[in-house]
Amino acid sequence: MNIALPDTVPVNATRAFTLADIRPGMVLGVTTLKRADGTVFAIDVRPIPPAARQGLSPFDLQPGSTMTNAVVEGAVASAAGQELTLNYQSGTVRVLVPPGTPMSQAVPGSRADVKPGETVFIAARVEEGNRFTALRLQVSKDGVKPTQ
Amino acid sequence: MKRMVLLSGLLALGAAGPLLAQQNVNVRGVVTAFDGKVV
Repeated sequence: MNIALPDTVPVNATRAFTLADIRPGMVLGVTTLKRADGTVFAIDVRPIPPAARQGLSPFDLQPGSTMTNAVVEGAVASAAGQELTLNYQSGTVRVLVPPGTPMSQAVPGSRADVKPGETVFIAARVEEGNRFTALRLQVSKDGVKPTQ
Repeated sequence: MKRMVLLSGLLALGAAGPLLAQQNVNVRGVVTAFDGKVV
């Protein structure tokens, strides 16, 4: 698969991000799934710009996954992991973050970071003829992979 | 003409079903090549 990367499209690299970095008031994008017992749990966590639109929306990482863009109201440790209370403006949700949940953050990067073997997340547009053009690209760096 | 470079990789589309022109999709994967070709 080939994707055109216009010169005008910014490239982000990736830096480590951990539970210890999460503070009340921070805005996160949390990809979640729901268990049969109703527990909502994270499968991917990243900080996002405070100006990002908050709310819940379907996400394509896994069938049934949801993207929650929300402000951290609180975090408490539980036996199964850290539990975050997230406020997405029109409601709140408690999200379990099991140990080992992938987390990272986007930082400014350059095209020099895009090399064979690196992992990428690309938001792209489909063009006529099933060609693809990148709108946004985040690439792994120093072994830290972008959230997906 | 807008200058572009081509990114190739073992990439997977997040979208299910047929793709439509102008549709936005998420692509995830590993880069296998990245060149400065003008297209």
